[in-house]
Amino acid sequence: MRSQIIAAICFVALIAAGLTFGLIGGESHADESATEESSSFEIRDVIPAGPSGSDPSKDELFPLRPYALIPDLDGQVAYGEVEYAPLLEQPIEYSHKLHAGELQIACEYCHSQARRSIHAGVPETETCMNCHKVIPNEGRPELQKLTAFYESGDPIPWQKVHDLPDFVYFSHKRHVRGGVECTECHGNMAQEMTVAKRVNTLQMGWCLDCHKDHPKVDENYGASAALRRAELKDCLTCHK
Amino acid sequence: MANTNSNSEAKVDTELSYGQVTSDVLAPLFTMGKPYMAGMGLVLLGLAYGGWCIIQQLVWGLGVAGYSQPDFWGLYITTFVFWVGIGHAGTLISAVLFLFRSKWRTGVYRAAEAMTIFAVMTAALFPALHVGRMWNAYWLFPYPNQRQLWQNFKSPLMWDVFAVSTYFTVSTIFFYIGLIPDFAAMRDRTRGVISKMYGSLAIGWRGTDRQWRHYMAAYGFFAAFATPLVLSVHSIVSWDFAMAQTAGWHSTLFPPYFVAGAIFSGCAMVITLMVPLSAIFKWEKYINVWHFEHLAKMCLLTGGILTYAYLMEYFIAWYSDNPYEWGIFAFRVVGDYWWVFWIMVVCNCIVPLIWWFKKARTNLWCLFIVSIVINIGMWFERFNIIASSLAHQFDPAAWTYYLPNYIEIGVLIFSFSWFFLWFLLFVKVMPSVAIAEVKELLPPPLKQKGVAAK
Amino acid sequence: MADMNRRDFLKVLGISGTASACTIDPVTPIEKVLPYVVTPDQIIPGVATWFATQCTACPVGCGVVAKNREGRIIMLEGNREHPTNNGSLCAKGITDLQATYSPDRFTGPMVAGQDSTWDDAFGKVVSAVKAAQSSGKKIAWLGRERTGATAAITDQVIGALGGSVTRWEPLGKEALRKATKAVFGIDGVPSYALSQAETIISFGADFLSTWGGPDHHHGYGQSRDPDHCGFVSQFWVVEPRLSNTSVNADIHLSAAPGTEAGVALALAKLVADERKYSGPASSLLTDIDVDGLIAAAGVSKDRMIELAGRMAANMSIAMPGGTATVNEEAVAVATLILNEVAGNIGETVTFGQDANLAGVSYYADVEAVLADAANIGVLFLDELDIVYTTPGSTAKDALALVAQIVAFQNEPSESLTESSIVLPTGTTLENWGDNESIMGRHTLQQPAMKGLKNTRGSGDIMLALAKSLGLGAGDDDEEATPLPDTFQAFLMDWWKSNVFAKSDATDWDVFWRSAVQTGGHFFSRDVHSATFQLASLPEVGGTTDGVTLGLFPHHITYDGRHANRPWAHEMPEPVTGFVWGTWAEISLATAEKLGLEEDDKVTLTTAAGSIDVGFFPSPGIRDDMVAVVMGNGHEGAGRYADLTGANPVRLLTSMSYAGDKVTVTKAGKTTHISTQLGNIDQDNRPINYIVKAKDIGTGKGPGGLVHLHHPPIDERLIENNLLDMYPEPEHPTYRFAMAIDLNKCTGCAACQVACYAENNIGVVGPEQNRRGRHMGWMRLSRYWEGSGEEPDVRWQPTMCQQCSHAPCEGVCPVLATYHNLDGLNAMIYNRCVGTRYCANNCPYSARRFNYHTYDWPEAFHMMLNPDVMTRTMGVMEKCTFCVQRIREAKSDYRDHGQVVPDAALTKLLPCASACGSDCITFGNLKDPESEVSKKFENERAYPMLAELNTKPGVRYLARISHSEAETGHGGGH
Repeated sequence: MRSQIIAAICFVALIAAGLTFGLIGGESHADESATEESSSFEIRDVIPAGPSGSDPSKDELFPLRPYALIPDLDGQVAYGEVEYAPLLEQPIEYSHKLHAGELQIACEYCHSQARRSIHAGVPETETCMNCHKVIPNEGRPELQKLTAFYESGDPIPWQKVHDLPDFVYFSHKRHVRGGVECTECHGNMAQEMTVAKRVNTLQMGWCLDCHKDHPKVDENYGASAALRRAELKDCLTCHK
Repeated sequence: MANTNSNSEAKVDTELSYGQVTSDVLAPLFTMGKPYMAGMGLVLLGLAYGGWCIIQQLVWGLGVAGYSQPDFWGLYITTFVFWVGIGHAGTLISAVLFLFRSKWRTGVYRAAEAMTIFAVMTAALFPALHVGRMWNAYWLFPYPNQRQLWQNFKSPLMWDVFAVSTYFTVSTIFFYIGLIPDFAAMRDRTRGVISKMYGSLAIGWRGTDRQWRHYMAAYGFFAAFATPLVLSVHSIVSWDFAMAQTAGWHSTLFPPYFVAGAIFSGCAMVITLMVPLSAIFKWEKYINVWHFEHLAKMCLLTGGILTYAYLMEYFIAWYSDNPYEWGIFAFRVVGDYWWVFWIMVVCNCIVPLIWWFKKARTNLWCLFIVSIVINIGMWFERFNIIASSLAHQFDPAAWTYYLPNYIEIGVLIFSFSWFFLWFLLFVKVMPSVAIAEVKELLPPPLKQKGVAAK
Repeated sequence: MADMNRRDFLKVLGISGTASACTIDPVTPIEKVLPYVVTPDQIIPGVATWFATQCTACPVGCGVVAKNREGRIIMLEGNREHPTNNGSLCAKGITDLQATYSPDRFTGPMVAGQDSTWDDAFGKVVSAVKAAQSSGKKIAWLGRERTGATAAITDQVIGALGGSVTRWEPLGKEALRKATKAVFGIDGVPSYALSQAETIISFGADFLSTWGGPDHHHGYGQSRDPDHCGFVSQFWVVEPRLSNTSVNADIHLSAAPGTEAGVALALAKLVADERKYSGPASSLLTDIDVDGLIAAAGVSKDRMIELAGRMAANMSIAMPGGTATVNEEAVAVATLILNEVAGNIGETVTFGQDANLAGVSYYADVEAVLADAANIGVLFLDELDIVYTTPGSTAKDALALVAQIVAFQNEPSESLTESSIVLPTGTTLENWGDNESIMGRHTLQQPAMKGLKNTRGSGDIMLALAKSLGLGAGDDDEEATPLPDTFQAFLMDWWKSNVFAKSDATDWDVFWRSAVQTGGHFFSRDVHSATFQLASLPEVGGTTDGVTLGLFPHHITYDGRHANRPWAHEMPEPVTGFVWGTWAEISLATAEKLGLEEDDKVTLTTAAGSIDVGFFPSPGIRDDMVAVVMGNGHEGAGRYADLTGANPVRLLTSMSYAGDKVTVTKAGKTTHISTQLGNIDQDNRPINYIVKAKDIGTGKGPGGLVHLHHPPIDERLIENNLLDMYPEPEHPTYRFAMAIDLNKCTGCAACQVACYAENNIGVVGPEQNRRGRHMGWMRLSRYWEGSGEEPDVRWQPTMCQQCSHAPCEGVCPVLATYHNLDGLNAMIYNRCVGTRYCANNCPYSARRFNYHTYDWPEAFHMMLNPDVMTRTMGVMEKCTFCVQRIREAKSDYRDHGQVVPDAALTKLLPCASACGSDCITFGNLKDPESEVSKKFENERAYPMLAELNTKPGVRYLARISHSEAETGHGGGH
């Protein structure tokens, strides 16, 4: 019976040995990086430097970025399953319900690039002030924040609610001009949301659902709708 | 269908009693010798160093290895093909030879099958290790996903995935079925938890005639089922190359040529493993020159086929009058990789010829050394095919030269350590010689109870 | 144009932040989005804005357009309105983009090596000037060539201070200028109209690389194009070596170093006899000993007679010597005589619209300044690295004597001393400026982005200096008008009085606006001939014993001013394929004699010193000549400049780049230099074809041979349509394709740099390059097929061929690469797992693999193109015909429901637009009228490796060979 037990021990020993020996080289420059940068523990700190000896990620001429075995997600991701979509803390608690809903301001008054650019465009502070110059902000802390930002000349640090991964090419221009309603992707801001909240996964499958058979395609392209639909399924349509 | 024909050719000491066999074969499972510990120690060291190399590569990218452009494949694929090749002999010996009813397989086939399975497990490491983003390697398996994406079934790499996994599954089942009676023997020899463990593996084997009848039927069926796979798996691996149009790869000769090569190296590996095994565990009674000689003859046959294939490659290249084809074959002989080529030729075509002499192929030392030489040669054959063809692609302006560096060597060491880890564990937990089948070679003893069990 | 807008540019980091954070790991943490506070006009986030400005990478003074995305310039392209470069931009020009984002830039002014404030530094300058004036010391200005208002402000202020202004270019055409003065009595250099010359003879001028500008490429390209002018020019070179330019030659007469002038005179004599020349030069030619000179040079007389015949028969042009030419001035004189005799003056060699050299000094003047260093109180150094570019330690010692050096520098330089005051002036993209490098061509430079650092333009500094010294208050008469406050204002005044006044425009505002939009104002001046007035022949040097040294400029680092740009080193030098380092060209015989192996170094020793460099065994150089590349191996000029190589100027005994005697010995195996070109020739493979000039129009070109190479294809397969296993892919609207005219290609590598700039291609550095990890998507293959008098060097820019039957597509297990409806061979980076099977299977070796995640040092990442993803480790990448640009163009025309017209496509791609000789044409094959469709039908057009039946979307127009030798299509196969 000893044999089986010893065999089992060998197994454990192997895993341990492999890992320790594998990670050992990094100790020294784990300290460096700790002193240099944040003291927060990252797996790359205990990875031995590349074969060149010194840590390639700190090379002044030709830095190499290591693969983070444990990706730091900052807790939350700006796309993916909706139930994980957090209601983000915004610098100003802006209410879409009020502006787009009650006041009936058109989306494109503020997001004015949507027709012209890949970005819909977050309104410049100036645009807000067009109206808020004349709206009293006494006892209205959110508005005071706004004016404070405007006077300081600093941009308002909004948090991105809808954010696609960087390998995706998404053009608001094409979608808006194609007649896709803002609400189809962003949800009913005017009625349901104060601070914007993501209501769709923004994942590839979700995009494809429309790209396969969106009624607008037939409307806009008529005879050549089939071709257009084929084009819309081409990976290069959305991938950089 | 227990064998009815005479056992005269079976070179086994017929004085042995069934009980003697069982205890001889199971002996090593209850002892822990020095050579074993030493071996395990080496294996652990190898795994540790290899593990370090793999972590390096995972974090900083494949660049830590010696790859260049356009030499995109190198040592990893070489070693992958090498291990798949090793993985051939086992199933071949046990299944095919079983169907041909050749006696000499009985002593060696158990270990050979184990070798097969571990070799395939080792080979399976490499596709993962060699892809640029191994954390995405699972994309190679077709599974429903939200991206609504599917795989490309035109790609030989996809065929590989299926071929290798099928081969692995079938060999494992076949291996297990062969083990059932011996698990029963283990069950009866052990006590407590361990005994229960073996008991569950033996799925209630009692060795009754009825069980034997079903057993042999099942065994025969899986033998027949495994046989075509022996041919298919390496043919498909060879298509990784033959389906590409890279000069030096794009050849219809590859499937038979690869299969022959695989059996060649596989049998050699069996010899390499068995010679020390029978010596250390004192199994000369069960595994002896008689078996090795048959394996050696096997090698002579397949080695001959291989040599023919080499010559034929050159004939085709010359006859095609294709400047790229002929360019690459000339390059292999006299170019940067001349040494690889000549190691391959010497080890695969010339050295084994010594086995034409009975003296040589019945001498254990000669068998052991030459079998190792053969495996070195077979590794270099794959390296020769891969590295040289890629180093001199079609456009001379993009030519390059590639050599593996210490990271890749580390991974190579890892693969061997990984293989021997499993093999060493195997000889300690399972009988490395098929007790039941060896007994078949013995004259049936006087009628008594529970033959197979005692 | 209010530059107040540009102040706000940096407030949009968030939106374009994607570029820097770009990665293909599908996890994006919550990002910030920072809107503008006040939106600048012309700027729409996500839409590029192009600003017309000038290029200051070299003295040629081309016009460029700078692509601004969210406040950063991410791309430079040629200005199509500009007559000098007609929309093309050379490798140097594009590389200069990195100057703005260089990690070594000074963040602000510095005094004696310490960071300082503008007030402090500027105060010190003023006091230094006052001190100099009181102590009666001189004030001197030493800098690069400047023209237009940029020069005027300096001249005015320094002049008012009683100082001297010396502007000098290390690679200026000094010899030619002297020669022109001697021969025609004109202070200037002729301009060469290559397009009309049926015979081009060069005596060493590297006129397609670093000697002169893109106009030469343009002219050469036209002269090589049978469809353009009905003939195909023959290109002869008389040179002891083969430069990046002369490898294009049809005939190479390898004259001994120093005998080129003799050859030119002998040729002149022969031509004169041939065409009964009786002009003013005839008297000089009487006592020329033709045979003697030819014998001395060691060239074939038959060839000389053949050449003379051609020159007499039809229009020709003789280019002067270059830097690597011994006795350059004599050669220049001789070539001018030759042009006179051949009747080219006023035809192909003209005056009037040539380089504006009025403000440019000779090296003698520089020496004078340096000699007088002890008496200089304040020396203004204007971006001129005088120490690096001049031989010996003269400059270094002189600078040590100067009381106070005020350096206008953005980056470190060897010429900075401990006590220097450094005033960072900002780069071309950040300031106002202009040039008139070519007479009558006023190019305007406008700030295209906000300055990244705390800088002030040199013009503004000069004005401030004048103010604080009370100059220009209108007291002295030459200063009628008081100086304005900003250089922008001064510039506008200057243009008003110097350009607007001369033009026929009426409304200043309209004129100014259009000038800013078109990038300047260009007068077309009528060119004229000149009268020959040379009295006596120049001294002709004979063959000399020993091995002669000649330096030649690197095709990008130039005289070394671009050495701190990683691209400059990362781009393989076209002839040798070398990256990262300095090398010596030595003959094959010499290499053999020294027993050199690939990674050896050689030691070069002259009277002045010795350096260790790599080597290139060139089939085109004489045994008694050694050529070394300039522009590398700095000491203290930035991280990339200092990294590799050695400075060959240290080998010179005097300020002439050729003539010193050198000994070559073998050094250790320590070279970092590595070539990116695998083989010297194409190994008898049918890859790069040539067509005989006499076969043009007879249909014997390779166009007809598409299917007829190894292995021969059974005709029945084609008849029964069984050739392809798979059907032709469908291309409903577009089949994007490219035609590359190898007959025009001069191997200038501009396309390669453009590709790097557009596609965020990683710079891997010397070590990775040595290990073959070069990432360039475009390989400029060089096949050196010939030898001796017919070098027959063939170029082939090879990128992904966008095959219709792509071998790479079938083998990708995850469909990361596939053929799309537009005929593009798509590559989806984030789907790639990195099996690298596709690259193995690509017969063109056009795919590149990211063995690491190549990152960018701080500031370079701001230059990344946000429309192109940056690739991380383990991902295959390649050319996709710049799909991001195609996508943008399609989107723009889709707004009006249109298909992208040919005009919008031909030069859409950066490589095509950068190409100086206009050999790359892009377009849509589905449109039968498109240029590319026509080129595909050309008899010279052939797909690379056609026998593999990959049906590429790229076709090459074979090089036209004038050779009579039967080399066959594949070069002897």
